[in-house]
Amino acid sequence: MDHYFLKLSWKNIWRNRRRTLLTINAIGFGVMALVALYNYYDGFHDQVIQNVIRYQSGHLLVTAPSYHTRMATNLVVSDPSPVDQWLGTQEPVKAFSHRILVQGLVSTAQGSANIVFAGIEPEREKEVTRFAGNMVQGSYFGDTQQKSILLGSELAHLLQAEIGSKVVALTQGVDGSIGNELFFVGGIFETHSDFDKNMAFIRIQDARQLLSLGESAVHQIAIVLAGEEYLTAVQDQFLKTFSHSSSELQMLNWKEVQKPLMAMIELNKSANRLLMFIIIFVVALGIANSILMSILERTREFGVMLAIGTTKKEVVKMVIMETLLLSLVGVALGNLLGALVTQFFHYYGFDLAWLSSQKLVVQGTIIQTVSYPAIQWRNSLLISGIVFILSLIVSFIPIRHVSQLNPVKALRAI
Amino acid sequence: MILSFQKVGKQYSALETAVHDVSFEVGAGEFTALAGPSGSGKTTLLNLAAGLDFASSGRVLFLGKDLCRLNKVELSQLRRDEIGFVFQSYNLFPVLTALENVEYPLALKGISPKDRKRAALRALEETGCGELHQRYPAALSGGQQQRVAIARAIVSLPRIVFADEPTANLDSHTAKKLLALFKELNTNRKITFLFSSHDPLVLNMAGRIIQVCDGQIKSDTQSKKPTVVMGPPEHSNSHLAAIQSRYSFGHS
Repeated sequence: MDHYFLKLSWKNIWRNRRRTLLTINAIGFGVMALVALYNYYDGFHDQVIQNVIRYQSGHLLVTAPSYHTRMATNLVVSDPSPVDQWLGTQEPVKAFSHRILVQGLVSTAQGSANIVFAGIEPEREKEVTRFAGNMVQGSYFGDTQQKSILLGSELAHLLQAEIGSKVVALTQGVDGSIGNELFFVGGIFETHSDFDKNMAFIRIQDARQLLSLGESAVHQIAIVLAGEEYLTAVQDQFLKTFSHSSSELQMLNWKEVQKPLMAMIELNKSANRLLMFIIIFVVALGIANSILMSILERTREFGVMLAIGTTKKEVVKMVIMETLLLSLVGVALGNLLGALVTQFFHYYGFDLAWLSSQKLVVQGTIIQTVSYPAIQWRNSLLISGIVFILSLIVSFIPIRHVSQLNPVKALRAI
Repeated sequence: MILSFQKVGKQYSALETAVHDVSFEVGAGEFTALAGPSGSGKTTLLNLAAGLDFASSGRVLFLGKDLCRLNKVELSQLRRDEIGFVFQSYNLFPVLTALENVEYPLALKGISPKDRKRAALRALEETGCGELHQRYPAALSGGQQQRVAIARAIVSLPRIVFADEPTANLDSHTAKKLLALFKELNTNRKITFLFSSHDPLVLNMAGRIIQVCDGQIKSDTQSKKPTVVMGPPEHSNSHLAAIQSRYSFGHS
């Protein structure tokens, strides 16, 4: 079959212009919705991941083995300097910072709360996470003279603490002693997350003092890379370099640290896939219906074709070609519209907040529902491919009809 | 001998017998009419002759081949290469122009677009529709559509053209012109024609009339004044060569 039959198939699908346009619009709208939705979710997931990376774990964490699961204060990296030196030589490493995390009681004369104290290196932490940009009062460890503490806005409200207020931190040291220190509120931050009520930042040396830890001990070394693509390479290199001291060191990537988040994203993707199959199946049924109607109207013509020497295989090929052409036009339209919609929201953002009165919280972080999706050709290819395949599968109905045609009966058809 | 019916019977059900014990032969170059009232079995005989339907008993031989022994693809091949069809209601493809309609059998054969177009134009010219080649069937009169259908039937130089009531939908003036065209093709191109008709006009022009009634042949008579000039039938193997030389075809 040459282009003659391609032309014939093309002309055939336009026999009933209105029906064909309706079918093409249905395919186009379905594909557009899916392409735009998939692009939105890709952007949204990426944003969630970036949020978690830049507010919590960074790309990689170096800890003592099993620290991440047990969170015991005595599980420390006692001497992080070899790791620091090694990180300094790794090109993909953009920044890293030491941390000490400890649960304890914070109190003022007006109240107390059980929180997590994060002992950080202020300057280095600024390169790793974005807390420094979330100060609403005071400054980010601007006062170097006093033992400064940064409180979340909700916590400050609960403790009725203001800038300069005294607060007492109380916790159990690694040696079993009770550690307590007096701090002055140096700043109040607001992240619109659970951190605002259950976290306070102090300098890392103050945290060590509170826990009676050694001079250089840390719980975590949080690392930010130049890009996600370096994750495995850096992890592999770390394993090679520190295999001799692996009993004391462990490097986890953010996916290992944020397993609930990954599970949520996977669940979300599965739900999207299900939605995609439902929409595409409905679209494919529309295509099959359109082709079937067109075939039922042409029964006599098929009889003529068979009478003048067309084989059933050739007729079936023609029907398949018509199905593919119809799908192709719809898919092309859908992808074009999907790309336009995506590009529009890429510049102006798309906020799903109006769908829910609840804030979306993942791993204690409120996720921004505004997404700035980007065109992802892999989504277009995936959706288009599935439309074509499902269209061909459901077109077995018209194909079966054609392949069972009796030429004599077909010639008698009105 | 092109076609041979040997004691052919066709039964659709225990109560419905369309054709019963029919035997006749059609030689090369004949201009034969199957005459008879509606429901007498004419169309069934044409369908059996073209391998569109199968005999319940007896044998139908086409160029010596028993059609019942050919598979579906071989039958399609046979119809494509050796048979032309003209239908009562023209049955042109409405989405194709006259030229594209005539090109259809050649496209099936895999003839190249250039040769296909040249051959189709020539066939249209032969049937007097050369100037109408860009028109769609809806823009043609009944007679013009039937001429285009004839062009489609003869474009690949079939051995025989089956025409089922070809003038039934035409006025007598147009029907006469069309029959003259059939006759001309029969005479000049030596194409064998087998018609089914109850139109006296057709029957008057037929070289041979096979009268069918209730699925049986009542009479088989030669015309007193045969108008057909017959030549020897071309050999099967040289048939494509004849087409190619006539239209300068080259298989694409």
